[in-house]
Amino acid sequence: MAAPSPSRLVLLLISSLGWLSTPGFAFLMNWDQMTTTAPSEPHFTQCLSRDQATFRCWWSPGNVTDLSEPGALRVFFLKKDSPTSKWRECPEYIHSRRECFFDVNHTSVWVTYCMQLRGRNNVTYFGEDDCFRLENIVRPDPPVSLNWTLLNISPSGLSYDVMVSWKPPPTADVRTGWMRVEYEIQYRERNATTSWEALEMQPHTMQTIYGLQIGLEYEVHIHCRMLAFTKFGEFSESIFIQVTDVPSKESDFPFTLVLAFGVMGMIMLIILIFVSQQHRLMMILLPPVPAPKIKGIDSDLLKKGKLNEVNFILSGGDIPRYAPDFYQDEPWVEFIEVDADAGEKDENQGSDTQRLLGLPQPVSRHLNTGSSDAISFPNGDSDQASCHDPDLADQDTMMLMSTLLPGQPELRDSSFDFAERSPSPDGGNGPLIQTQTAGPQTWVNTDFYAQVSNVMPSGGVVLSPGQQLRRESTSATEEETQKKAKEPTEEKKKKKQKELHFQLLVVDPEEGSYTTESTVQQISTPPSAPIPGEGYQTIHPDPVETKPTATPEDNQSPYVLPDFPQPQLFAPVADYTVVQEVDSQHSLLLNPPPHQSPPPCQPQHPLKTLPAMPVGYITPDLLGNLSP
Amino acid sequence: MDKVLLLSVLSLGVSCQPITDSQRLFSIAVSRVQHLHLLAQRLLTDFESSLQTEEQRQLNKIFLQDFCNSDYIVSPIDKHETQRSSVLKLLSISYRLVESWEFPSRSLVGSSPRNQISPKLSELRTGILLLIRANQDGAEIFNDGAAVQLAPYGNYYQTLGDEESLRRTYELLACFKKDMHKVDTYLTVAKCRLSTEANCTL
Repeated sequence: MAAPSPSRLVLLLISSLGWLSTPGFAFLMNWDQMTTTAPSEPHFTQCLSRDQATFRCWWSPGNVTDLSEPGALRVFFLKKDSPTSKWRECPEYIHSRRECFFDVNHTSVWVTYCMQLRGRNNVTYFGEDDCFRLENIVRPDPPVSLNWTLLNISPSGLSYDVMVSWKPPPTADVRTGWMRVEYEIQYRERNATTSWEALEMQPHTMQTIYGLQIGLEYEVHIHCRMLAFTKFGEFSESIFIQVTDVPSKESDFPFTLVLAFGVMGMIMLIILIFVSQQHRLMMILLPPVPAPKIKGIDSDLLKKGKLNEVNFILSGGDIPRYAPDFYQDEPWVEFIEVDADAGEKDENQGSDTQRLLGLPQPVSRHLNTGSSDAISFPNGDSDQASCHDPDLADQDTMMLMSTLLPGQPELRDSSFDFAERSPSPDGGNGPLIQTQTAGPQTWVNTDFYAQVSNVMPSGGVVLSPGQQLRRESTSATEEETQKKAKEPTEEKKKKKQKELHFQLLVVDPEEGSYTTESTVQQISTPPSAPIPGEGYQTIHPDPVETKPTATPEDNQSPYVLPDFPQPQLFAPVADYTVVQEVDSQHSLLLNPPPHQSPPPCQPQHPLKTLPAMPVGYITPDLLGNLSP
Repeated sequence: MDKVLLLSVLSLGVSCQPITDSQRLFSIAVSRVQHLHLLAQRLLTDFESSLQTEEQRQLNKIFLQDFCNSDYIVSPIDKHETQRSSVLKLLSISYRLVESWEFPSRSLVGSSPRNQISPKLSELRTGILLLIRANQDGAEIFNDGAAVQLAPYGNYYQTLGDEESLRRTYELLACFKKDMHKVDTYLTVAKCRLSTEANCTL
């Protein structure tokens, strides 16, 4: 239309056609807004497209009866795809439905179509001169294959969620992207007059409906429309959703409840047991250290100070005598038999013992009377017990008992523990070995243990004498006693050596226990034997002896003895004895001097077959050969 | 020499990912044009709802005219023609359509001033240009300086008087929506053609 005055022409055209197109405007915008007054003239009722590629238009002849015949009215359309477009007739009539169908070849998008009805004699009915663009009249078909699946049921069992899925309408070409559709689901209770409830529109082909009630039946349908457009298609066929009660869920509830209550009850029971049996449980879990006991000896006796009975028991010899019978089957138990008779016979035994132990006899009596807790021996040396602290006395008792009954592990352990635990009165040493005197010997009143100075590779332990000297420094009373003991000790040492029987406990690390060795021979400590408080006492006549006569005599113990309270005046002694050779009489010579007197009569000792051992100790199996 | 080699390797690496980049760019472009299309729809309905019945009658004339500013751009108008067109052709037409609206869209007044259409069109145009370059392969060189055909009514908008401002606004809005739907359809069809997914419209 390149007219010389295009603007004017356009204005004319607009004005001429404007007032005619009021219904068309309504038709284009929203056919729901059309006025209900149907015009009597022939008019188009609807133009519709389903796939944005074809469309149809339906008309009505109106009240004009003579135009109701098929073919009386003709449809013309104007496709404004170019300025020179003309009116053309409908490409395909379907008179039965009064429909004009536009196929793909005659359909264009984004182009305005104007429809026109013409009757006979070219009477044009512009009344319904509908003009539209194809995209604005698209109403997609409803989706197909609508179905639902149960998602879950609420814990209360009253509501459930449902996933509804469908497929896009087959006529809408969504796959190639020609059309974009969005779906809207509506549901309502069946057999109810409530209005439909619509869910949010979305372009996916599935959607969840939340909060449906169990037991109710629901009706669900769906329709769709093009994105960014307003016209919906028709609704699909309705589907019905109903979920009945699910009783199985309830069975889980009481089960968990029962389980919870059961667990709580058990916990309460355990707590009750703990509270009520607390004492007993503590006994089991943390057993108290049992006090070592000697059979036949009542600890109360000791506490009460009935020394006579205790002495009797101790000197009764039942213990050492029957001990070997008891422990025949345990080779590791070695006993050092204490000759109680010999001890009793010896007059100077007590003095020797006291000398060794540093216990002054006359003084001890005085002391003994003073201390009721002391342990004394029945051989007349009952007075010789020195005054100790009660704790020490008890400790001594325990040590003795544990020593005499090696078969009782608890006692052993306890004594061992005791040895470990009693460092305080003794100056805090490491593992100590209890050495005690058995039988009628004078007791070790101060300490029953010797310090382990070294552990040999073969399993033996090198003992060192107790911390007598240390204790001397710590305890004033002990100092006094020891000081007093020094002189008489020296005196007595200058006499003949005395028999000293005592048991030597050697810790056997292999067996985890200690073996008591009963000295076979009478052991006497040479006067020089006392050690300056450290290390091992060497029974050595030579370097340590102040009385050469004492040494070569019998009663030279083959063992290394712990050092009992020794005066400090003695010359220093080596830490341990080295058995150098065994003389003809099968006695062990610990660094024998060249001028050594005949060795004491001792049983054969297999040690002579051994080379000079660097450590002077005797293993239990070797000791066995020593026993007579 | 090493640098040249490195650069060539890098460029190869970049060019070896045309498909994935193109897919991603397509998704972004499609979402942007969808947004613009929805925006145009909203503007139109807002405008119509603000009119009175009397004014609505006057607006009918605009529909009859149905000439938009961008009618000079030749584009496929039916399904077959669209599906026969190459991706590059669709992209180039979309580019021109978007470009043609960058200036006139400034006069589109929405209900809320924050709907800035013109900058969004600029961004969309840039995205389509990237897509063109990604799909170019040298077969069809995009001619940015194509001959701009004058509209048959080149100054049509300007000849209208002030009383036609209502019509002008309505016409602008209607034409804008139409063109946005066009670009939306073209880009979606191109994306679905290159996509391997089943639901390429989502």
